[in-house]
Amino acid sequence: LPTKASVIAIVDDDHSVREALTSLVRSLGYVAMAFECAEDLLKSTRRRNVSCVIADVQMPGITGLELHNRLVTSGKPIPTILITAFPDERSRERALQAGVIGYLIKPFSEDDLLACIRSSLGLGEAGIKSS
Amino acid sequence: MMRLQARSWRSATSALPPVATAGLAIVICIADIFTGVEVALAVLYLAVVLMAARFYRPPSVLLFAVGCMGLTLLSYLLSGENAINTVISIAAIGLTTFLVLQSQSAEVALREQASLLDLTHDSIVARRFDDDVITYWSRGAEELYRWDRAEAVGRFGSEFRKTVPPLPLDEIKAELLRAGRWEGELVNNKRDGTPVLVSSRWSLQRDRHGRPATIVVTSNDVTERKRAEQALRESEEQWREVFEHNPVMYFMVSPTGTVLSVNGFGASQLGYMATDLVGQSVLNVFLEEDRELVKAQLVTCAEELGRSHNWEIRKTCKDGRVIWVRENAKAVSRSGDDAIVLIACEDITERRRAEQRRDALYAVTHVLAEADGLAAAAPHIVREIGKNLEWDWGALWSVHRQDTALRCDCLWHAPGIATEEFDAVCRERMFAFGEGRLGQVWRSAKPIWMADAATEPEFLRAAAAGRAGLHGGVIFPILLDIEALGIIEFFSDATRERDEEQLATLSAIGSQIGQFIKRQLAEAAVRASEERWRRLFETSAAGMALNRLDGVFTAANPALQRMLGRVEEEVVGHNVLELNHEDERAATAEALARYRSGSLTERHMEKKYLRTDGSPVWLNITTTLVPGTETAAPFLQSVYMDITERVQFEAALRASEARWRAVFENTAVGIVTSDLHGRYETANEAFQRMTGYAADELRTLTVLDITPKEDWAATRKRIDEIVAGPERSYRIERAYRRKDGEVVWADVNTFFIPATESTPAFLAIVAVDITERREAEEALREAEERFRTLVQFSFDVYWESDAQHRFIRQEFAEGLGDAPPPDSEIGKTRWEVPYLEPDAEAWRKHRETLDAHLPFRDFEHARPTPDGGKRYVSVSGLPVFDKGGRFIGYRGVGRHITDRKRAEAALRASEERWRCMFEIAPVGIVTIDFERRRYLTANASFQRMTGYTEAELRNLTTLELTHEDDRAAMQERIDSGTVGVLQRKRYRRKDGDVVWADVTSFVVPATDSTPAFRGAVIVDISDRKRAEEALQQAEADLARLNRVMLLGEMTASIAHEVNQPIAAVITNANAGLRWLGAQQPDFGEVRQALGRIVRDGTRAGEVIGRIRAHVKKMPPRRELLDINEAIREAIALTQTETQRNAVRLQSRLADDLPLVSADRVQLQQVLINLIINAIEAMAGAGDGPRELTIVSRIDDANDVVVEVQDTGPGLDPKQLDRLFQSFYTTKPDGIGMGLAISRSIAEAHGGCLSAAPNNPRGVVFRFTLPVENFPKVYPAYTQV
Repeated sequence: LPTKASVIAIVDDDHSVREALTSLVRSLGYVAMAFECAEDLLKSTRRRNVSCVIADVQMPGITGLELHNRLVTSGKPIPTILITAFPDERSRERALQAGVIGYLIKPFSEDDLLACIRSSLGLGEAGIKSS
Repeated sequence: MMRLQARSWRSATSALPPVATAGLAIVICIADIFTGVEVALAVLYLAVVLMAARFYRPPSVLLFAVGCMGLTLLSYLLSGENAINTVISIAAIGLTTFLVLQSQSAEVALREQASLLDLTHDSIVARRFDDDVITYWSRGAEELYRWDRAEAVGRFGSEFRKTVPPLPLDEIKAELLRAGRWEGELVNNKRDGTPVLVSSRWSLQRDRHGRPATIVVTSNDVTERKRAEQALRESEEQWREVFEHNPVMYFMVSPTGTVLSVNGFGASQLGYMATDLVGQSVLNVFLEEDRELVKAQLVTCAEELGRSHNWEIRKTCKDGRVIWVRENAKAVSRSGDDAIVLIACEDITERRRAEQRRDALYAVTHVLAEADGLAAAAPHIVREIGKNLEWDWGALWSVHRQDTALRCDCLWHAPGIATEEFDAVCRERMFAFGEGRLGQVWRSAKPIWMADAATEPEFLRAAAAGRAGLHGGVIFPILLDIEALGIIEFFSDATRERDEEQLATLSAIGSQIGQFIKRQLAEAAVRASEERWRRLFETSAAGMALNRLDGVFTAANPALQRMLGRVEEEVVGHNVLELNHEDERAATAEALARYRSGSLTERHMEKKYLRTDGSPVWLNITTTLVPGTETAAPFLQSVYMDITERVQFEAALRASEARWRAVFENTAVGIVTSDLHGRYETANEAFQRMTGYAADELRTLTVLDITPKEDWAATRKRIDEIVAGPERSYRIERAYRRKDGEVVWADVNTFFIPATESTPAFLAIVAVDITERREAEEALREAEERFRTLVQFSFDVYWESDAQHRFIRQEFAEGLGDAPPPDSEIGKTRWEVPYLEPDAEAWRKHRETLDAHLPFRDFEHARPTPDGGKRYVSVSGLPVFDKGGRFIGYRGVGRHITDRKRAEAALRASEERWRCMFEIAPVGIVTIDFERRRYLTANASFQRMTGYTEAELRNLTTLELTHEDDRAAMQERIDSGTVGVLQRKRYRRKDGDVVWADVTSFVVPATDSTPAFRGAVIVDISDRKRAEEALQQAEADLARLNRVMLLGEMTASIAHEVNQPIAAVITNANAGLRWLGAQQPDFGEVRQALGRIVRDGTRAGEVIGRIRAHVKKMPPRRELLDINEAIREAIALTQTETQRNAVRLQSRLADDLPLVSADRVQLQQVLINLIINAIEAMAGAGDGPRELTIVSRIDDANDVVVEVQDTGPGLDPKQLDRLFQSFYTTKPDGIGMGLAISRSIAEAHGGCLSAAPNNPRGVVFRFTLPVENFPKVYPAYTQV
């Protein structure tokens, strides 16, 4: 278990999934911040604290992938895990090319999610060292 | 005595050999002169001076020196030793002091400078050139290196700071010796060991003698700057990486378009190396026609520094491929330089192509929506597809039935393309079925793509295409169902790789055009039918009209207008009541009311109408109520016949007959007719009285029966003679035997009346009882008088002529309109009065009769009337003899028959018209025997319609001619006595074909002359019916397609909608487990998680429920269908998939399968599902054979069986059982609903769906459907 409570942002327009993920993330010992849409996260002042973003791919407005791209171009990238209920190969490829940590298909296994979160947080620290 | 020369601190090791030599000489000299003590003392004094110099300022040093010299002198004075030694010692002390002081003053100056140097932050260090010992350490150096000056001075400069110079120190020194200075960066270590990068400037100080003495090193700490630079460089490198490897093409160009830089991706996308492009004009990579635009855009960019500009444009790759790119350009100014334009460029060819495909599809849809027909639409279609999909040349070919070959209908080429020769070839060339690429597409109904048509061996126009510069090409069919109605082809001036998506779009366009043509054909059929109806209406000899139910005319054909003597405007828009004769209005109004209430649907009547001039016109009218439909109000349709003349003629005939009858009945002369055998037919009262027999009795008798036996032979002979001719009359006095046995004498005139068309020949006998002649002379005269009076009443004229046939008397009936002036004909013979008819021959015969003194009757002739018309007269006359038997003239009667003649003529004409109309009417018109319902007459149309001749029809009943499926309904109508209703029914032609017809039947009631009969008007609506059926079929097809697509979308939405809650459920469950498994389980969280699981599970259930409800909204629409047809359609619908996956499809469909009752869409859903499953199973199976076999057959249980067999990897027998469970799937991307739904559908149809291993590999899905024996009853198309 992580030694200090990393903050994980959850962005999903589906109420059920958002709630469930929040609970799961908290049960894993992290701090969860839930957002209904990507715009809310981008506007949030608390995003500096976020170590990892779990975002739905298909959302009205800004999609999960676009959110990731915006975070990258803003100069403050946050490791992103994309989840989707409507997978297709092209969107997966594009997401992985854009450098997301994981592309998980709903319903996803807890192990996969956990692996992605861990790799996100590890990468976050390594990223700070290298810069 | 030479004293040791104190070495200046400036001396250098390089000067050691001469100094050492000199020193050695001095030491030898000293050793020679001085004693050891003296030397020691001298050295001590020198040491004192040097010591003082070390610690004191020059005045004190001087003081010490003087002191030392004084002490030396004193010791001399005291010891009185060698004076020379003393002088030498003093001189040595003095010299040393001088040197020391000199050096001290230089040092002071230096130190003063150094304190100035300390004011700067630069580190300044002085080190001796020879041994690298630090002689100066500035405050800046202290700050930089953290060593104090005291610690640093005297240490070796490079060593203690672990200096890492970029060059070996010797090389630096050599450079210093050569140039006097060196600049560079080197790394030193601080006191704490951290390295520090400094920028150093070394300069060499030489001593007075020009010898290198000191190196002054001025250093700046550049670690920070360096780090910043490093960071910058790294960043730059990153950007360069980004620039180079980003999947975006970057160009940096000058405002004039010269490429300054391009990233590797950008170059490689275009097929170049970056070096190929740099220095070239960027315009070279743009499509030629777009270059001006690019130029202009670059100028705009350069003018508006810093503003982004976007455009989409085409670029040409090295290999000639054209790609679409979106460019985002921005000009930035570089310091001291011109602006440069940065262009980021993204390949949007795919998107562009998709847009083009979509635009092409839209454009074609639009053109079809606007077009009247394919011929008009074709050029637009070809142009729109060509423009949108960037082809350069296109043509539409269609199949010309008369020569069964493809011919080019229209050509199109992009502007600027010159293909005259190729155009000409295409215009002249025709292609047979299967000939060349075009013929192949025609035969296969599948599109063909040619990367380079000019080199395609099977493309017959390859050479011409090559000369025209056309290469890439595509040919695709216009499909109506599975038949190619036409072909569209396109070529481009570059080669083109096969584009599956475009092919799919073009196929869709082909089908779309096919559907359009299908619709057009159906519409044309409807139009043709309407046209026929309209022409019938316009040209019919019968009047026809349509009325609203309030009686207002909405249409009236020219025939009716003629009948009514009114132009169209005087009829249409007017109420029928206005046009009715006033006598009829009440009845008409009542009938209209009954039509409105629905209690009357058809009416047959004769009615008086008014012409505009107020004259009445009699019309025979049949009016039928046409019931309203959803879109049209009910209306009345009527057929009119002008019967004015017939009515008048009938009236005249009735009057004439009445007159004749009166004469016949009332005359005193016995008048009787008999057939040519002497059998009596009619007898008047006078004859009855004469013979004592009643008329009925006489009809049973012959003339011989009332003739005394002795006269029989003579009587027979006379009858034979008169029948044989030429004498046609005789007159005798003869005896009759009365019923009571008495004999009466009569003067008998017998005439042979020849046969006419309507009556056979007969004999007319006029018998005058002469028994009482003498006694009744007076009575006779009275009778004669009475007779004449009666004649006068009965005839229009009574006349008498003399022996020369001149009129001696003419008495015209009163009120006779066309009588000649009184006495105007007296004294003239009949032929002397002006006449018009008959001809001379007839007159000659008449005169012969007269000259023979024979009676004549009904001699008709015409005389001119003063108004130029004709007056017809029919006269009959009897010769008159005096008592001596001498001929004295004629007496006779005449009738003016002008009206009758006219009526007859009209009747003939009318009859002619009727008959003609009956024969040429485009509708069938028949008369039918009332009771037995056999055809009596049938016009040509009906004969054509049914294929029977009239003679054949006379042996058939209406029921026998009716299509067997409609007979029950027909019998029902016969039984219920329905008449006059429009019925839609089918006839069975002689050749077995079916004819659809609208039939209106009516009953013509019996008259005196004719028994009642039935009539019917039959309109052949087969064409219309076929068009309707085609339309219905097209609509059904469309609806079915919609439903198929809906089901497809639904399965996709199941995946999406159900996945969300399921994902939530699993995640919640995981969270719950975590909370439970924590060291201190948080039950509150667990409870919440469980609560959410329940909620989301319910939600998933609701989704399924909603979909199920949706499915229920689409109840199965059962129909009797041919399973093979459904299979073929399913194959057609999945054709693209089959082709894309290179699957060979084989169908073995059994003939003569019974129809099954099923929902076509659901059935096809199952079939499509099985086919797609099979294709996907084989697509994932590597290199094995890909064969899909579809079989239909009938099994032992008499069920229809459909099998879909694949040669895929097959399934484990254990899996086979689970296949049909919901959500079970073997496909990575399947949702596992397909087979579950398919099985439900099969079961809903009373059949089943099962799977079994296929031999030798793969799976076979078997789908059975029970056969139902539906009665073959078609819905009756009866309109009420």
